[in-house]
Amino acid sequence: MTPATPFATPFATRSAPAPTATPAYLRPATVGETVGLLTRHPGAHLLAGGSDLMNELRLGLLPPATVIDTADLPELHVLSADGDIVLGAGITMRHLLTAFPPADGRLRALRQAADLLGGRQIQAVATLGGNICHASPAAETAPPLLVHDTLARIAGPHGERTIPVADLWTAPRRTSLTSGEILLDLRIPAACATRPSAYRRIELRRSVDIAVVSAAAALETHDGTIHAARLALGAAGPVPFRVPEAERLLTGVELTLDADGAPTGPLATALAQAAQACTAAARPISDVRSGAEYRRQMTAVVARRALEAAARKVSP
Amino acid sequence: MREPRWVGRDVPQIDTDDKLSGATAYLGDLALPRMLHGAIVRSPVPHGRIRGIDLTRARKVPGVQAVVTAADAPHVAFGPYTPDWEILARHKVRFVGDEVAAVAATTPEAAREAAALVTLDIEELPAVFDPALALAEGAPVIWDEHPDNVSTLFTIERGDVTAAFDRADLVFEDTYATNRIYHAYLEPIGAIAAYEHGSYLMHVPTHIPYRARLTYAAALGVDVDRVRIVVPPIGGSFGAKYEMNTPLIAALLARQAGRPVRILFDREEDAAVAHPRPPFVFQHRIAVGSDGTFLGRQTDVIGVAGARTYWSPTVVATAVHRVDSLYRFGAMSGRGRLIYTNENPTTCMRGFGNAEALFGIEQMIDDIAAKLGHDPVDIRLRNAVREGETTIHGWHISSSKLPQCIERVQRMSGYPHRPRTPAEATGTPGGVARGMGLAIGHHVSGYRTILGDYDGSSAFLRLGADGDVSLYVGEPDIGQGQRTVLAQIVAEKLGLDPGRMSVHGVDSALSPAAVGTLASRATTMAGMATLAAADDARAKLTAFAAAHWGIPATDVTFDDGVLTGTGTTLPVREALRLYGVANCGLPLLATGVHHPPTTVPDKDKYGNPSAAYPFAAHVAEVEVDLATGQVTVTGYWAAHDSGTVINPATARGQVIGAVAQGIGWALMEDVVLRDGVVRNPNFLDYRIPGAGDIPDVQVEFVDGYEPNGPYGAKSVAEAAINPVVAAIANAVHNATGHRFHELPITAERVFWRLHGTGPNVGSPA
Repeated sequence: MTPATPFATPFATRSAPAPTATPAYLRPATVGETVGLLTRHPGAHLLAGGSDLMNELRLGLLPPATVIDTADLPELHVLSADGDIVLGAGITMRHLLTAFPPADGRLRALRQAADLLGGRQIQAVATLGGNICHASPAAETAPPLLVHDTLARIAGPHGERTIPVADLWTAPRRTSLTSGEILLDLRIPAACATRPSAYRRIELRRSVDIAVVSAAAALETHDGTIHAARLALGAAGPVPFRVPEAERLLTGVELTLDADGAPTGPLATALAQAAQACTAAARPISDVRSGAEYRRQMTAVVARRALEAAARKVSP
Repeated sequence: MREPRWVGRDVPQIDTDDKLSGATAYLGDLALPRMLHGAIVRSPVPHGRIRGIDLTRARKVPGVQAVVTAADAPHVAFGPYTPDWEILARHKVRFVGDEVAAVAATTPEAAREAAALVTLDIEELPAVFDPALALAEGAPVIWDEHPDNVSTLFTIERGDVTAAFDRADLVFEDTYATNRIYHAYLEPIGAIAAYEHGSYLMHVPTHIPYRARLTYAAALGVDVDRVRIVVPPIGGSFGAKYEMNTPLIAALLARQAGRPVRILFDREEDAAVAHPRPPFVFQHRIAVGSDGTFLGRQTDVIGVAGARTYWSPTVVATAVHRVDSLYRFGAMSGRGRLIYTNENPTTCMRGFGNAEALFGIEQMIDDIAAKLGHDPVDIRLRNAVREGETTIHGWHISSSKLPQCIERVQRMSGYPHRPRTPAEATGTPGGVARGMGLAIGHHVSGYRTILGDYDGSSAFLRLGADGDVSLYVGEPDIGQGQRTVLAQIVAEKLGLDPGRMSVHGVDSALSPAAVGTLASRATTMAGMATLAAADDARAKLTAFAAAHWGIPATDVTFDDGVLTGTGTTLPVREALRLYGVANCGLPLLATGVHHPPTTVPDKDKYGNPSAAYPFAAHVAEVEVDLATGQVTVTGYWAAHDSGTVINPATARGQVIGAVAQGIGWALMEDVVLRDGVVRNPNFLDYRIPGAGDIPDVQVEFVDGYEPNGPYGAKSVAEAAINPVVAAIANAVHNATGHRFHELPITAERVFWRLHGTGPNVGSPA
């Protein structure tokens, strides 16, 4: 009898033998030092906001190990919004929400996701880097970062590398970061940040929750026509992913919205097709929150709602 | 009569400041000198024979002071209703989480580490998780004493049911299922126990301390006076914190260690092994005449006990027959069975089987009305039990303003159709359906058979020479505002400020013995005892003042805190000072005893078990997102008959809280078990509603007066949740045309009903 979720039997998971040595708490001051510590302490946990890490350590879901605190690393706390947007991995949801008020218009999808992540207390500590490196398929900020064409800068023993954020996730709770590597920041090209975008999720309650499925959409338009579309889904497969087929179906489609902002004509047709493409692309699981088939059906709904919300933000 | 000064006023709760500032010392804030921390070793399997328990490694953990197993417990079979409890499992484990051993150590970490090092050798046995399978031939037997896996059987019959169904123009039959609900109180379960000179001292947040004391003394094999229970402030319960194994395990550890021991669950342990509301399956049959008159009713109820019997037997009995004091069903017959399964035990929760029964009955009544072409309100009023009536089971309804509640809630809500502004008419993409639903409910204000020996209450007041006034009752406050309500009653009688009074916490060494705070009885029962004690204080103060002035007591008046004689006055505080001086410091002690006019139901379950019955009518308005199936409660209106409302702000708060709890139950809450393992023991996956899920709940109390309650008051607590799930289900039906026979009404369930049957709805793989 193996519980399907690690939360299932707290008293059973706690039966693991207690550690023989007390794990160390380290607080490096530079990225170079951090990379060195990570290399010397394989299995060490990087601590950012701690909203996931501390719970998982407390519940015995992660083995006790050396904790390396990133609080003193200046590179992780950069937020630069002139031209290309650079978001340090240690930027909190609260900081994001403050830096990009609704009137700003940039990174709308990411802002909406940050606003839905946890409650206000969690938003004050939870970081962007923590959220995406935790690599939950339901990570709130992942679909928005995908549609914002985000690049992830990573430091490691062999220097720095930059990858599309999509390449960060390999499986549930697994990233492509190798031993000694740390995510430094996320870069969003200026042109991508200003595209009309939106994030929507299906949730089981109207208060703090995590997504049953989620979707982010961004549209590049010109003269009332979609030039390029980005659509990404969360909790619809092992990792958050873009849906190229849906994006293709929307490309070149005229933005036909009626007076109430509801899609009509060619846009309505294309949205319905794109939504179906999401259902086809989804590979969700069943868990205590939801059945897989319900999740699959909901990808169409949530994708459509995200796309419509993004379309309504296109300036006429 | 003088306008009441304190009764009926929104007096601020007398303990709010302490709660807001964190000064209130809950169990987790208490520490006795040399106190140890306990941890429980639990069964990882749902059913098994214990072959061995190896404690060697656990004992070696630094700081460990005691390790106990069943060998350290008296060989006593005990339990509140059925003697199927063991402090620690002796021969078999019967659910995942069953208590097998326990450890006490100088730190919680050491205790937990040692508990993890206890090695269990358990031969796993076939287990059963479904009550229908548990009843089947050849099912695994959980208790040898109950080879059929039936913990409790309840049957009742009144009148000629066969004739009623023969006479009926229409017969309605339906099956409804309710689910396991976690009480989700803020304060997890815990206890502190100490052992000294052959006596146990327990700090336990229980709201039936005197019954718990009987159970605990029996379990520990000692006389009742060897167990003292002190009740700290309780951080919520809703029926969960009656009697538990935890204080007994702490007692065994304390006895072995010779030091006090505290066991305090964290949220995950609490949610994984706490005792939820029992799930039920109801088969209801209702016989109806073409004019809409109910002629007869049959019901067959199956409830799940889990692996041992807590308070679910009485919940089953309530589920079978309490609705007969809401409606005249004519003849009835009912059977309820409480079934053992290899799952964590269930117990009562606010609503106590009545809300569960109404979930089905109130939906069926809407169906009956629709089928007959009657108005759903008219059919309810036609069949409702009325004030002054004695029901088929002998329950005497001394007051009921149910018709006024129904009329009021319609006026408040606009039911069945609320007019809308155009701004409200914009829809969610994919479309929304709106609907309104009405349901009524009722409850008791105390229940005669809880303690057996008596049903009333007693109280005493200690009025000190320095002006300090303390009230002692045996009914603990469980956060519902009872302290304040009782202080208001004393204040009204004696002209004192309730904010300057203290209502003492319950301590079995100091307080009167009592039935406890359950069955919505505290305001009515403790309130009447408090009123009697306050009357006694008035009489004693009047007599003292008369003696002081040398005039007949009949010449003394006592109004608004001032005693008046012939041409002279004495404020009550000054009178108390003089009383103390005259009696060398003795406080004025006043006592009150209340005997309610209730009877123990006879062998046919006939008799009046409660002094007063509250009534309510609720209307819910919902929006259903047709693309996702998500139900949102967009409006809620509640009209209540609680007789005189002693503190309207507190009573309104209780109703709003009950509606919030009911919204969670109706739409999202569900303890999910698979193979006996709770799969969502945390607030991420066990969802209780947040502020965003609860509309502006409108509450009104209709004018009423209950002759058996203090100043005309009767209960609020459970009547407030009883109609909620039914009202929401009726609203969802009104919106979608679909009846939901099972709780919770999740988005996923609604979606598949709207969009064709889905795969294995509601039971995740």
